[in-house]
Amino acid sequence: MKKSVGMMLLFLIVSSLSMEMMAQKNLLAVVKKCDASDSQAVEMNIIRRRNKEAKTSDVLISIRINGDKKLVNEFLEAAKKDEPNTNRSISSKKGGKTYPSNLKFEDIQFMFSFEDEGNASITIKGNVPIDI
Amino acid sequence: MNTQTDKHIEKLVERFFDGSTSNEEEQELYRFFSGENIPEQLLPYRPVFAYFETGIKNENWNESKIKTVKSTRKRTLFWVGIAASLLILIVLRMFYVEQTKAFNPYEGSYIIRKGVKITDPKIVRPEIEKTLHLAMLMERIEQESPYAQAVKRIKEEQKGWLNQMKDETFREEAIKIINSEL
Repeated sequence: MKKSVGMMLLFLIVSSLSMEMMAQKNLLAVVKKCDASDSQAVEMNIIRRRNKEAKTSDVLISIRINGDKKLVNEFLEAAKKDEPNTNRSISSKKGGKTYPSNLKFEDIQFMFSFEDEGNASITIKGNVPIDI
Repeated sequence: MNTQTDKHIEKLVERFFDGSTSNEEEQELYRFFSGENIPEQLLPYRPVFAYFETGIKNENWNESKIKTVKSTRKRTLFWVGIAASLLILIVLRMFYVEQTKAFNPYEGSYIIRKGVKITDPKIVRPEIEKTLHLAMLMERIEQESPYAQAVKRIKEEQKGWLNQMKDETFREEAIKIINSEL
């Protein structure tokens, strides 16, 4: 009895954690692609912030895309797919088109600034599960 | 047997046990009782003076042995004390160094330029500052966005309505719910 209750609790915890990670899986996949990319169009800053007293850390990532329309579209597509899983999302209009500007998930927040086609800035803050 | 000698010895024995004999008189007693011609009435004292002569010699020898042991032990303790003090100093020093070791809150940060990962702190540091600035901007936008403003206003209105309620416990719980839901 105890064993089955324990297993059930473990399953619930694992599944809830998995669901949190799955919420922004499309966006994180594109971010990881940028991290591994050798493209000259991508500039990326990955900053790990640690708090000495609390022993916690979070990650700040800023991505600058210069002249890579395909990559910018990938981000846009990923944002659209993950948007239904957000706790809150803010969009903005530019040139008659609507773009996501701020997507807030449980542990991670994305801020987008889409400029001309092929140029964009993305800032990410939170518990980013990237191996750094 | 010389009776006068015997009487003299008897007197010396008495004085010996009273603790009033001189060293020469004691030596005389030892010589007498180590000899062969001891009168019968003085025979019982023979083992006593034999002990005193040899026993005291042995005690002196044991004393010197004890003194040697004691001084060796003192020397050992001295060096153990020195070693322990040094060890404590070393531990304290290590602890102090560990405490004052510079804590780098951005350890592990890096940048990617043209596909190359750069970890050099001199190059990364200015980029850290830029990214932190972006994060601050992000937080500010979140606080001042129309959405955030609307949420803030709704909360204030709801709290204003709740403040009219008399039940303090209920009011506090309701405020908690409002703060968590929006």
